[in-house]
Amino acid sequence: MSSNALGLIETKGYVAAVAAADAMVKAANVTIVAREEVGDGLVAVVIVGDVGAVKAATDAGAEAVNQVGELVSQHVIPRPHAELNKFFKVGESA
Amino acid sequence: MSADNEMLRSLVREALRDALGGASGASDIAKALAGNAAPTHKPAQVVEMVSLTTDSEVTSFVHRILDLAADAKTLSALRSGEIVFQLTEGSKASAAASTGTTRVDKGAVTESTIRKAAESGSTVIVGRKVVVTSLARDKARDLGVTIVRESQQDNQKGSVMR
Repeated sequence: MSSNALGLIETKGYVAAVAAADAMVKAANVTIVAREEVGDGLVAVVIVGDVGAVKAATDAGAEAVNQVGELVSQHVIPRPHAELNKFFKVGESA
Repeated sequence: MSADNEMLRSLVREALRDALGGASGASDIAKALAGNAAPTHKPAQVVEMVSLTTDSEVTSFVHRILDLAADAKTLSALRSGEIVFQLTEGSKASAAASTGTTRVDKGAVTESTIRKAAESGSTVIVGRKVVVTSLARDKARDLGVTIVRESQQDNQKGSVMR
């Protein structure tokens, strides 16, 4: 699958993150590539896929988090630079 | 932005108060804009169409009133209600549309929020901590919905997000 966009959703609480991840992969053709826990209950889920799919997925994920927990932030990066993979494990096969 | 509008409004009020010489400028404007509800016996009533949708139009309206007030003849015509002002259809419609605002104080603004907001109005006011998703922003641009971020200190309207 071509992964020309990166989607990130950060939630407060593990349950909300799971709900977001589930909603995202169900909503569009995307794959989960990372789950980051930075402490204090903050959990981020990273997905890759086509730009449109990633945008639709993160929107659906945000909607799901709204129901069960707290959405901290949401971001979509179209065509992320390859350099990102060196220090952030966010690539398709990182 | 809102400070500018407020300044313009007070400018219009001041100018009208000067020009019309009434005790309360606001009621004079109301009278003038309502197309002079009280029937006048004078047949020579001039109706001017006024469009007040942009800042520049408000400014030019103020200038027009000042010009009218400069001449003693037209000033008395203004006072007696021979010259009345009417809002054009366009500015009436936009005034009605601007009343339909949607507020989001917590959680997230998603595409569906924007779609619902577009039906009722054209502005979404979001709280400081509310997350606006990328798709929602795209949709807002498509539907011509303005997303206004509420600023931190006072609950005044803050920056307009693009």
